[in-house]
Amino acid sequence: MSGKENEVPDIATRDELLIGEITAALAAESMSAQDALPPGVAERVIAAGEVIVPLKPTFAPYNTVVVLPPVPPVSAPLTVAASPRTRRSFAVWGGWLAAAAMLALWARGPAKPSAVVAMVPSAASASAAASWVRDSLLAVDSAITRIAWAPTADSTAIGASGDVVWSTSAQRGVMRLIGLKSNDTRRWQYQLWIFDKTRDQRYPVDGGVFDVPPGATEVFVPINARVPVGGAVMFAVTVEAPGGVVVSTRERVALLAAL
Amino acid sequence: MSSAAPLLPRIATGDEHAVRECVARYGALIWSLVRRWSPDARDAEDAVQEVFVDLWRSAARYEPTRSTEAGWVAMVTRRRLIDRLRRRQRAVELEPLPDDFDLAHDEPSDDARDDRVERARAALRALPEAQRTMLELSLLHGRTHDEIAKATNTPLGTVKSHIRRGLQRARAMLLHTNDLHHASDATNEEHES
Repeated sequence: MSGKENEVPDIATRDELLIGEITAALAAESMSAQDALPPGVAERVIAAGEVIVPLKPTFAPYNTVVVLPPVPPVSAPLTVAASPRTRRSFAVWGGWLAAAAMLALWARGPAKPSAVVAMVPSAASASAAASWVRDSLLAVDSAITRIAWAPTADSTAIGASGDVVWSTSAQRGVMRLIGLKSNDTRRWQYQLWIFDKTRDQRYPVDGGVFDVPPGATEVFVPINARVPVGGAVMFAVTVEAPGGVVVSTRERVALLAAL
Repeated sequence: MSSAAPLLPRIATGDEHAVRECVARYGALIWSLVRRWSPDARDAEDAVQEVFVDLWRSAARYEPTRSTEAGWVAMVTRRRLIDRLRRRQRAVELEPLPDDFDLAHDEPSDDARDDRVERARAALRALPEAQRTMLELSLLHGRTHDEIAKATNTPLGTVKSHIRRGLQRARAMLLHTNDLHHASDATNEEHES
């Protein structure tokens, strides 16, 4: 949302306020049962509001365009050891970075464009709500973290892409997952882990378990960190037993996203 | 709607618990406007999202002494809908306000604020049918003056005149309760070409 036409001026003119009063009155006179906000729409609006409203004190100026760093191409190698901070923690992350290093050697073709396909209604609705939350975070939080996923060689992630969006101030985030294999919920689930530079990096923060419904080529999954995250520097999706685990063996890492 | 405690000040302070209440209170008002202005359901859903994002972001600009909360919400909604209409129809000639619609000296008192929407409804009921119809088409349905002229088979100048006079009458009645009585008496004066 940018451009002058989208601006809400600081001062409403009295003309506009009066028109607003009359419009509200006209609407009240003619409202019917049809005018109830559809529940699905209401839930999405609420989900977005609950992200935006707590961010209010740190809002960017109204007409500011939030410029995000370009998302690297999916086929780009993962460079997790690029920054000094990452290098310092290299020894601690051990197995996670070994998986990341494998990615750097793993060449693959460009990702195929994918489309959202029909999902079961509840999953589709939750994904749509998460998508709106993601858009809202990107629109209002200038300090947002947005990183592209890099798939590992795990069979679940062949051709997978997308990104992860995380707001430290809101402690909320959304994963966008494209082409990640659907999971058999009776046998296994995906689990997100958040590496927090302010915590003991041997123990990443549990970001919750989630499913990719059959037939879904693009899903949006909300991130609900179990504990506060001071400074997220890497996100990892693992394959775990149903319900997830407290400490991952890190045997199967599907996706990684590192600053 | 007008008598309930305002929610926007709570939104402005970052109270996320007010979000659900705000959607419950104003969802129908916004949806009733949005679905009339939007060409299809998908567009309406997008518009609702944009309107509420506007509300979340601009809640601090609401001044309870200047308008009712419902009126302010309707104003924000209308601004957003006009923006969207202009984006859809770059050349649209939407005239939300007559050029000579002047409110230079109206400063509503706090006493009058709480029941302003109710008085607006009363004022609208007192308007001549043609004025009310054209105000509805313009404000509720987002029709341009040209579109209203064609839809009602009325000369464009008459449409503009009805809308201008309807707004002026409504304004006068909102500001001066006694004018509600005068409005009925003066109705016959409003039938111009």
